[in-house]
Amino acid sequence: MISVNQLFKHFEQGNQKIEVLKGVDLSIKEGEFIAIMGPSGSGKSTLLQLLGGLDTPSSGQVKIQGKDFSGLTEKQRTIVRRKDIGFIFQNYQLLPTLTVEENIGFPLHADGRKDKNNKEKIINIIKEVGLEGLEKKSPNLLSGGQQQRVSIARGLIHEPKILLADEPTGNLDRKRAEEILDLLSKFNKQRKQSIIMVTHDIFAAGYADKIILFKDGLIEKEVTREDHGYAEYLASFLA
Amino acid sequence: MLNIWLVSWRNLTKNKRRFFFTLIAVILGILLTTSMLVANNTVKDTFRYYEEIYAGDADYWILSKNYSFSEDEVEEIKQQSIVSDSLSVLDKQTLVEIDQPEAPAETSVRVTGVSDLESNLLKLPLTKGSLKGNGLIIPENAAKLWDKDIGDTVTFKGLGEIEVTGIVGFTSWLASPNNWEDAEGRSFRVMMDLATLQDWTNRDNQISYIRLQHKDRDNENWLSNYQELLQGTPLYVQPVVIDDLRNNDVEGLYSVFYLVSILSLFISGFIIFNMIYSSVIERKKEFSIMKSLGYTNFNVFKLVFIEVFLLSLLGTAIALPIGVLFADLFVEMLLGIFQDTMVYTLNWKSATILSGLIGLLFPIIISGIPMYIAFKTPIIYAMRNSNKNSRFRVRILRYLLGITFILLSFVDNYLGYIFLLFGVVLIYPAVIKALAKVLAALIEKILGYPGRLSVSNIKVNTNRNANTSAMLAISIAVVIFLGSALESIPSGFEKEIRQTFGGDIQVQFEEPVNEETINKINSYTEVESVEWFRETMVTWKTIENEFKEFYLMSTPSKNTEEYQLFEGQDNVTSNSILLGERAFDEWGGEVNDSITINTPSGTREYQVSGKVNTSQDGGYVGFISENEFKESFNWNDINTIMISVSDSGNPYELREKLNSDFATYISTITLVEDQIESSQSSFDGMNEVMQFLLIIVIALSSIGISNTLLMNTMERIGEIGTIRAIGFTTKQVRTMIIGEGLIVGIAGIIMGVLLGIFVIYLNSISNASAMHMPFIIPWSNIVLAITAGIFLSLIASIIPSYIAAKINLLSALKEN
Repeated sequence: MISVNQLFKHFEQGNQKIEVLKGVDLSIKEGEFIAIMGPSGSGKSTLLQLLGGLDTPSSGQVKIQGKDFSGLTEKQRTIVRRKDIGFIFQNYQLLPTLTVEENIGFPLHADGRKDKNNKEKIINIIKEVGLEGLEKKSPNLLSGGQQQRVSIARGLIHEPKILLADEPTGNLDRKRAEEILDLLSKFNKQRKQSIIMVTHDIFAAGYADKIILFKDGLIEKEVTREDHGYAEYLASFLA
Repeated sequence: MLNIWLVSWRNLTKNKRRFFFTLIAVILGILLTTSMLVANNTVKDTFRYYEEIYAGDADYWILSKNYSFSEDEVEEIKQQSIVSDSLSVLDKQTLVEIDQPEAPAETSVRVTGVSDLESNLLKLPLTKGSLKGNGLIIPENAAKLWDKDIGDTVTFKGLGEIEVTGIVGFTSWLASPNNWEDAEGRSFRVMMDLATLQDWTNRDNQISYIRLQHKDRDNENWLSNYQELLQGTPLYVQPVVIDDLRNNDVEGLYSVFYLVSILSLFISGFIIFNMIYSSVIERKKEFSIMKSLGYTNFNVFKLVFIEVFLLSLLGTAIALPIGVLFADLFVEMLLGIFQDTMVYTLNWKSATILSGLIGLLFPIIISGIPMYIAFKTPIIYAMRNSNKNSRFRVRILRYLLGITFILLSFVDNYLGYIFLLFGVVLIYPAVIKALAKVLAALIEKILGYPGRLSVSNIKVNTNRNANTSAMLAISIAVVIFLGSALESIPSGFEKEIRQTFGGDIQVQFEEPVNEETINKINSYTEVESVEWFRETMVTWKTIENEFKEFYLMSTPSKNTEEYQLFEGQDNVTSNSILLGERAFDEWGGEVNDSITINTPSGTREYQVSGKVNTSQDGGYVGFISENEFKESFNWNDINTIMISVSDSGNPYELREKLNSDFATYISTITLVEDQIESSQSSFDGMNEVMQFLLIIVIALSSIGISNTLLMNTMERIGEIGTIRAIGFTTKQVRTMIIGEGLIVGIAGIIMGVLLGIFVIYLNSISNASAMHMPFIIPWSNIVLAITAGIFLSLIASIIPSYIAAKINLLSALKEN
């Protein structure tokens, strides 16, 4: 589904060259729920941005369904994002001038095609994320948990193959975080969509099938819940 | 130590593009104001200069009720010790032979003989050759059309041949046609030595008038002394008066100068307000932190004040010199409208100082509210929530006030327009929201889904978008209103000219007309009938005791509708006078008040019995009864006749016939069509100038659109990042921003057109202007305004749209 080969990314800061990713290799299968963890500055968010085509690598390849992302033009990358990738952001990134249903429907309308099923799709997903009755509201009037549900619905409305989530529960309390993670887990199972989630939260990472641990721009280790000493290893790594 | 000036400068220029656009707005506002003020002063000065050189240093002139008189009759006056200089003048109408393909076989010319060509009482603006010697002085217009230069000779029919020794620029003394078509209606004027002309015409010692310069120039008693001295003789005296209103009928243009200045300052002010307001709102948290660290309210106020001051200082410093240069080009273009080639000296000093002061103070005044907001920002701002209920109440209050102001615009007064302006600005946020809703379907149809987002985005920063659109609307309304004025005024003038021209052709003779001449003209088959009136130039005093001069005319002896010279009053009784509109306004009194006039029979008081509409001398004229001329002034000569052309007669052929039969007597022949065409061409010229100015004002409004879109874009970087991340291409982002610009622009155009038509309607029902401005919708100006509005809105959106599309996706996402 996704394969990352020898991915390098550096930034120039004055005369200084800052290496963020130093040759990452990774493979994610269809329907896999991956959590990426690591200390601040380890490169996990940069990896997510490159997987989503929000940025281009300095070298190396990101292939989605065999198609090299880095070889695409800006417009082609946008179209891939529009069709195959869904985003969930820590701070929800909802558009304040649009209503809840308009925010959710955005990816469907962005390609300019008018599909008579669009409305039905929106109604269905609103039901699935539990936002009935809030369709016409402005996102500013919703709670943090509700806003993140809108964001999830928006990320999933166009049925992308990959859902990229950057700290989706970072701004929420434990109860709301749990609700959101349950939702993600439900969709992952129902729709067989790959989810790649960057998080600092061990509890959130516990929902993933596999946890990728990042350190100094490289993958330190990949662990699964089934691995021996999984919880202890995570605690010591993050400490 | 913290350098507050440096901190302010950094704050001001932090957002470089916004700073640049605002600076451009300040520059354009002050530039236009400087140009208009400099142009205003320069044009006024130019007209006054030409009046002054016509007046020379003369104080009085003595004329005769007869065509000419012997210089001996004024010898005693000339020899008085109080008289420091004098100039004797004789006019003679004649024909000149010009060997030019376009020229008629014989061309009519008025030769003026003067006793001293170099006299200070004459002040000829020599451009080539010399005033010394006994040669001929010709104006540049004649030199060009006749193809004559210094040293060439000119032959006057039946008089003699003379060498050209001097060429002069424009002066009223020698005002001449500047093309051959114009020469059909008026004669050329040239000047030469008096003695030669007297010799040529066998009028030894005869003169038409004499000008005198006094040593004691401020003593007005000499007027009554002369009047007393000349009583019982055909001679009479007039003081020499500088009154540029007689030749300068462009007050309307000055109003346009002021209007453009005010409008450009107004628009520029809104742009500055938007920028400073946004900057202050963005930095409220910063201010509260500063205050928590020890800054006083005044310190914060000072910080913002210095930012505005630096902006205005920089903008003004750049705008002033460019404004003066622009004024130079503009005055040249403006004076090009007039038939005579006038030279001018740019009067820039006082206007530049004034606009410099405006440039420094205006942005500070306009930024008063944002500065106050900065001053009042509470320390705990970050923790405070806004009170939405109070905002809602303020909004309702604003709209109610706006509607009240709009209703008050029906007040038949200039205040009505000010109420309307404020009313429109106050209700505009509601208008733009409503229009965005109405336009939503159309915009989405044209621009697709990005267009739909544009409509939603207008709701963010509604006030800023509304202000920007309101500026465009007001500019467009002014374009439309002036278009209507310029369309209706000439048609009103044409009607007025036809009704008050007095016949179909007016002929002015150089010498008094005798019965034989009238009979001969009456016998032409083209002539239906001939009528006449008497006229003389007189000086008079305004209510403020200022000397002015105009033509005093008699009512025609047969005051029928065909020959009427004015309308609005049936007739004029003895001892009373009717004043043309411009003369009445300049005089400053009320109907039935008295006006003092220095008539050919001394100073007299007349009761002003009314203000009348007339096309004679552009309304700068007075009418008294024919009886008054004959009995009180003892004025029997007739110099102007009015001809009614028969149905089968051709006025142009009749003009040719008159020109050929009375070539040496006729000074001017004016057809009613000439008069209409002349007025029309002046208005056309002014219309072009105004359209040029108003397109600049619309362009300034579109810089406002650019600035607003740029601010909107910068404030929504995070959102733009999001939509890019979830599927919008850069093209779609560009389309969205262009859509926002289009909504602001189209709303401005729709409101501007409605507002413009409403103002035209208000004018058409106003007591003051209904007569000259009927309800005429200027379709061509509406098309111009719509085209310019849409085009400039699109242009204005391009830069912000590219900036929005080019933003870095990752940094934009971090903004949220």
